[in-house]
Amino acid sequence: MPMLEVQELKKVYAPRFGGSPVQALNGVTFHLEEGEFAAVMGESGSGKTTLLNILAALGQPTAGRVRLDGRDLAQVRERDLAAFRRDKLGFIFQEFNLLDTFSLRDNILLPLVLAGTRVGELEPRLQPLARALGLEELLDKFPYEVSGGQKQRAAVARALITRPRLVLADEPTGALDSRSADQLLRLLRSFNDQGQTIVMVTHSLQAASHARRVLFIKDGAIFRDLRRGDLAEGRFYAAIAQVLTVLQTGGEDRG
Amino acid sequence: MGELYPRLALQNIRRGRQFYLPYLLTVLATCAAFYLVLALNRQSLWPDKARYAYLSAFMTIGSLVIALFAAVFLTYTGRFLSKRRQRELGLYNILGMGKGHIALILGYEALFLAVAGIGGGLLAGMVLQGVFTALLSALMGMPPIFSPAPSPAGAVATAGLFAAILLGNLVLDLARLKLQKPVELLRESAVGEREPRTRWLLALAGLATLGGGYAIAVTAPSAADALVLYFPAVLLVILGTYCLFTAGSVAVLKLLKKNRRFYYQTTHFIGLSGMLYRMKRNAVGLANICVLCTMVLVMTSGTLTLYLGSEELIPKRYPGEVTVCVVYDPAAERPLDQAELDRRFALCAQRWGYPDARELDQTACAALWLTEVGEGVFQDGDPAPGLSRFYFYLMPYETYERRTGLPLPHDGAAHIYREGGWPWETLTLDFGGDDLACFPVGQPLEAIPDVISALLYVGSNDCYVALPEEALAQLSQLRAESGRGPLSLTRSAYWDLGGDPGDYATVLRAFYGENWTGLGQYDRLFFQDRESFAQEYYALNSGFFFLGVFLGSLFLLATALILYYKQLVEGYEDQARYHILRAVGMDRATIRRSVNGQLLVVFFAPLLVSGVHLVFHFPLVRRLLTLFGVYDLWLELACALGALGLFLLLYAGMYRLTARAYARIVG
Repeated sequence: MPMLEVQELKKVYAPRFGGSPVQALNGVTFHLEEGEFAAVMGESGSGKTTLLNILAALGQPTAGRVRLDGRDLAQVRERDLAAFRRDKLGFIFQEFNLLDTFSLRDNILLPLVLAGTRVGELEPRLQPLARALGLEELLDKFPYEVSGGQKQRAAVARALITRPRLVLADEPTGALDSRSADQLLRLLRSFNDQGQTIVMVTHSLQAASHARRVLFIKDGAIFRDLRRGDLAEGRFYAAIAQVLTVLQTGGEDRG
Repeated sequence: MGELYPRLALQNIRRGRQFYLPYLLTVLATCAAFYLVLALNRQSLWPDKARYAYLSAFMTIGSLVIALFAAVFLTYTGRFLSKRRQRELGLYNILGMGKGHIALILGYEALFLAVAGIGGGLLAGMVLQGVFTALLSALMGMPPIFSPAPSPAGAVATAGLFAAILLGNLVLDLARLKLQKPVELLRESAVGEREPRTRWLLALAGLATLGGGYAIAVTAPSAADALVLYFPAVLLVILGTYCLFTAGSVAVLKLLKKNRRFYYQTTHFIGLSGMLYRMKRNAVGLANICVLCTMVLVMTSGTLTLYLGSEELIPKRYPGEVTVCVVYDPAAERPLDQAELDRRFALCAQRWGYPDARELDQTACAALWLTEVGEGVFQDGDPAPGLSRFYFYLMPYETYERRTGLPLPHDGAAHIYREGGWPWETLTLDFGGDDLACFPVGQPLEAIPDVISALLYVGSNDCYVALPEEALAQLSQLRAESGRGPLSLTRSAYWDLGGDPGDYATVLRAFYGENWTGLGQYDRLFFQDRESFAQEYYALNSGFFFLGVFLGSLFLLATALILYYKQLVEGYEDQARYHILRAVGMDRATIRRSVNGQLLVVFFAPLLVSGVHLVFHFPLVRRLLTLFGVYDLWLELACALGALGLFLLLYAGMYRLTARAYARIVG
């Protein structure tokens, strides 16, 4: 059984004051196995963010189904949703979304504290992650005292500390310079190598080329599903670029 | 194009109504309050000149306080409002609007707010004026006065003052605008405040000042000391409050944060770090609220006690409807014939239509300022520096017994009441002549006899001495021989005439026209009526009470506004934070709990501290109230608790309103 099943997902936004409804997703279907690292690419307005919000249970689809480990997200009760998100999902945002009232340590521990974890368990969970992400020296600093890359690494630690089934990353490199972006992507890749399942929405070719699989979305539907397989990094990069070109020139290629 | 700016200005106000409406209401309320005080201060409104004098003094104080308060508070809120708008103004600038145009918009906004605020305030003041005049006259025990005529002078003064304040605000805004660069205007103020250090020195200073204030309050030995030390004590406590809130709150929060078991709990985690994050600003805000709360409570409870307690004083000072006072020398050659005076007064009363007039009681008392020059030795004369002076009330045994109902041994000794006791075995009076008067000291007096018929007196360093009647004559002789003149003994006889007390003031004036010769030697004869005294007294106390409640309400409004703005701003700051928290898996119920926890602290920490202030203030104000003849502990307690109860009710209402506004923003 695949870990994440997305079936015929549709989302229609009805404008509040008249006007015609906007079809954001128009029948998206794909499966994700445990341990995959998938990038979702597409132009602005193609429905990437809508898709991610639905995967995160932050939005409801108009039609279709999302199952995580066989459990239908629509069946999770409203009051269990927060706990469900906390336990099953990890989030990485473009703008880091760290809380400026907390030190990096407390920002990372936040989901655990929200889940009511015992105090004694906090540090043992934090330490290995901090080491892996090179944050050990920075734990007592506040977000405004560190660089963008360091902030995003702290955000990654926050996403991973609950040992989520699935990490959802929304343009994680969007606000980073290329060096920090590269470093972050390598880190994500190494977590993926250790078995972490990741879905990453991105604009960036460079970011997408670190994934094992790229889903291209156009006009609310999957346009192409590209797998790296045994391709070398350079070849995969070229393949992605090619699909993007087709996507942008409006070709009807359906491979 | 010409209409663009007024329209933009109106639009801005409407869009920011969450901020502008409370500001407008504040302008309106302070404006109305100022106008009301000026209108009530009009001489033409009040019939009686004597009563008017107190009222005028109170209203003048009131208008000064309100003017000062309005200037400080409106500038504070105005600055707060403009700070919040920097981004918006920066955006205008970047979109190509010159600073001149922005200034024009700001000018129109200020104009609209001023017209609405001042106009509305004056209107509200004129509407309320009738109610307040009637209320105040009723409080003073007069027939209610209804005065619909507005006061043009008051309106002009009010409009002038508030226009000046608002214009000042505008000028400040424009000056700030001129200095700013657009990019800076745009930049968000998201740079974090550094986590504050615990400042032990400040905490220590706070403890010292607060302790000092409290110590004064508890130990001030007498009413006079309480009066002199009252404002220093208040100042110390205010200082201490600011220091302690600034340093103490950080220390407490840090201590809590260090306790990992406490800190890493869902509800504490969010609130604690949030409070620590903006503690510096928070602390000053909380201290402001605390000081304002305390002021409201102190003013209302104190003036209420005074108002209710004044009932009690009147029969004490004036046991009869009419007091017949005669000042005479007990050692005179042809001394005053007291029985004849009583007989003549009864006859006089009969002639004026009071056949049932009867004498209830009489007292005699002589008062002297004396300087302590040795152990139990007191000298009459100009005081030398460094020596304490005492006010001596000398009275015959009978007067003490009559006024207190307690028996005294008629053994020729001086029985004395003095605060702190009489440590010596004798009382020696030195009038500067060759001979001294020396009395053995008997038992301490158990009660203070009511022998003074003054409106207000400072009861510190008072000595009450009961002596044999003959001794007073001997003292008078001794004093006369030493060249300082004889003793002036005041004999007061208390009468009920059995008529309408409202007439007595007129009737007694007519009594002076009667023949009062042939009674022996005396200096002065005069009549007092209780009703006039009572009215004057009510005028004083109800003026006080009115002012207390009036200013109290104004300060309460300020408290409400500070709290509201504080939570509103924090709400907008926290909006993004709670958004993130929801994204990482915090559910609404937990958010609500955490918000409520934070709000409860913000609201009730200052209140708790003001409660402590009040407890320490209580003994101090008790002593002050004795100046006005109020000694009733239960009344004082009831008034303090009553004021606290009412305040809590209003405060809880404010809490609900503010909490709702905050929850709407972050929810």
